[in-house]
Amino acid sequence: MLELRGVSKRFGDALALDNVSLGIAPHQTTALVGTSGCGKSTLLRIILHLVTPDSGEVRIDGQRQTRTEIPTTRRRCGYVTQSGGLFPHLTVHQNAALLAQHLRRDPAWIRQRSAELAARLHLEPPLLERLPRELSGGQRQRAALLRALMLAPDLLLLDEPLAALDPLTRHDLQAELKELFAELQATVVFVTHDLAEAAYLAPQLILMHAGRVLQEGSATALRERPADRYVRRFVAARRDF
Amino acid sequence: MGRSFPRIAWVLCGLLVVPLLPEPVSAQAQFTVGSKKFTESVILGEMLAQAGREAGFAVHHQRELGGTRVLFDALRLGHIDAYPEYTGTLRFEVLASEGLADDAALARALALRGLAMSAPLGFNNSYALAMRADQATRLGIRRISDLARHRELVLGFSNEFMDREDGWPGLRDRYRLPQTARGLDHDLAYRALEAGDLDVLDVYATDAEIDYYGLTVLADDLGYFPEYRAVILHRADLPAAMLRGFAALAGRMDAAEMARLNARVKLGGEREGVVAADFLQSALGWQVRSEEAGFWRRLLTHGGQHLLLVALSLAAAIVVSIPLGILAAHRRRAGQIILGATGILQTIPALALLVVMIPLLGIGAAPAVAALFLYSLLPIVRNTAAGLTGIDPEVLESARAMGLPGATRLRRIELPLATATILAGIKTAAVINIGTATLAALVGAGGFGQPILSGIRLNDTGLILEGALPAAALAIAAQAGFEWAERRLLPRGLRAAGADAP
Repeated sequence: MLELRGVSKRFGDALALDNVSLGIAPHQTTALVGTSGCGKSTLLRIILHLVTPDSGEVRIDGQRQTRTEIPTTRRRCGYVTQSGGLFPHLTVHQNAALLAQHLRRDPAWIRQRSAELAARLHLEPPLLERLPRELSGGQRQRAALLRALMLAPDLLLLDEPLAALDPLTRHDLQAELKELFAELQATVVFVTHDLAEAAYLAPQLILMHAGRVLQEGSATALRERPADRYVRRFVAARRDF
Repeated sequence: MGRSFPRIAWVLCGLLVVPLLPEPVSAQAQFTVGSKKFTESVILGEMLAQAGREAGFAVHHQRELGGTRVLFDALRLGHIDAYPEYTGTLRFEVLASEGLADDAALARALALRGLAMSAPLGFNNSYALAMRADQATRLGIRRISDLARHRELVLGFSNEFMDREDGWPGLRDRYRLPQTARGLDHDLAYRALEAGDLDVLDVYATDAEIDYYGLTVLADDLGYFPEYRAVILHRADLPAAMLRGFAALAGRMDAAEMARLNARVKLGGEREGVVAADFLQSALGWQVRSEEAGFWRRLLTHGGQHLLLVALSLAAAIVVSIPLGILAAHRRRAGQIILGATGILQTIPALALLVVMIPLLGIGAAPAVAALFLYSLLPIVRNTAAGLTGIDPEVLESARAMGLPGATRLRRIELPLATATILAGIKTAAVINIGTATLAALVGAGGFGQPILSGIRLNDTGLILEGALPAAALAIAAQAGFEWAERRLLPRGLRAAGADAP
């Protein structure tokens, strides 16, 4: 579905991605795991053409994207960031409807789709008419997810979507997301620094450090056959209650 | 609510309609005469206008223009047809570089420019130096050369006198005066003299105040000051009937007569038009009517003119500044140039900017609107750019990541989020604009600056307030209006966070 070949990106002196090649399997969740600054967010931005790599290429369904195809590619993706990235002057419904309106979808369809998704994401109907700043953190992330899912994207790119939430909300949302991903059968790339969250949500993990992929595989594989000392440390760096 | 930005845009467009309401008064006049911003010139300008009307023409008097340069250029370019001038001013200031030996040479130099002057009106309004009579007696000063012995005396001269070829610099050299002089407004100089802040000032031979303040005019013992004979300077191609009207005024006024007319206006508080009409009736037997408007009529006229200047310049500035601000926000390099250039415009003194506009745009509303337009750019450009660059990058990235094209992002996301900041910029520009527009009267654009100019000239506080109070009220109203618009017209999501909290 999605493939990166030899992608490198440098910001000033900092090497964000160092010759990264990897493939993302379709219809399942892949977690990109690593500490902050390891390059995992840059990788998502490169997939969305928000950042242009210095070298290497991104292929979707085996194809490179030309400039004119970028908007179409972006519309096939749903993108959620750590604090949601909702448009602060628009209500939840308006946030969700904006792209569909731009593409001249039928207004009745837009209304129905946004109501259905709201129900699926446990957002009460009155919340659809609220502004982002009038929502709790958890509600905001549900709203961002609603917006991302409006046009039934082939690829869902989530950049630490739960990192800013309190532990209880986070725990609930993890369970809901797992159920949702299974139901949608979408290809999901889930960026997180939390190995437990990654292991819970994704059968396939990609562990990154300093702009490089250290190891790919299941959580069990990372735990039992770590590729190097860093992976061993990363896996061990948890305190069980 | 999502369509909210166009609604704001409509309100802004509404500002463009406002200028269509008032009409400038001078639109129907066949001829325009001008005058400088001192009383004698205004009285003489009234006489010219009334003489023109007596000859059967529609004549508008563009009173109190900003200085000799402004009037001479306006005449040369055909924006006015005549104004009262002094031979000395023409020979030693306006045409100083030509070294004109006498009035015949002056007439030839004027003819080359399509201009002509009438026969002298009768008085020689030369510059002179004056001081309080009691002080002069006490110090034994009768002549200008006596000043050299009193280094401690404070000299204050009108700004024009300070700068002129035939003014202070030449006088100082000729008499070897040791003092340094400071420049100030001529009308304020009398008050400074009375208050004791000033010992010696420049006067005109026909000044009404010489008598009133009990001044001694110092003898020009070295014969420094040239003749300043009053004439009517006019375009050479005026109709013969009009020129006959002007010619009738020649030789009719001596310095004492002129000083009496000045005193009636400056000290007696009579209107220039009335004084001019009285003179024409007694000297020439003309039954002319002065066209002086009453208080409410004046307020309405000045208010209309002021609003016209502000609305036109502000509307044009909005239309130009918002795209410039967008460009500045999106292109760093262009942004530095745009903000730098509009910033430099802001540092040019308003008066200088107005005067620079005259050769390009003539006198009246056009140069004033152009200058006010340039002044209004910076606040709007800067706030537009700041409003756009201040948007949360995560929000902007979400919009790009969605696949929305640039134009749609600008219209639906960026401009709405910057609207409150842009409105604040427009508000600032409007308030500055309303204040600066009071200077527009100096280039003949009228507005609330007109009574302020007259009031300063006549030392008439009431007249100053007639312009200053409505201008201040207008600024406050504009401020309140924009705040109302911000509260009522901005949809909930566009107001600053917390603004609608209970």
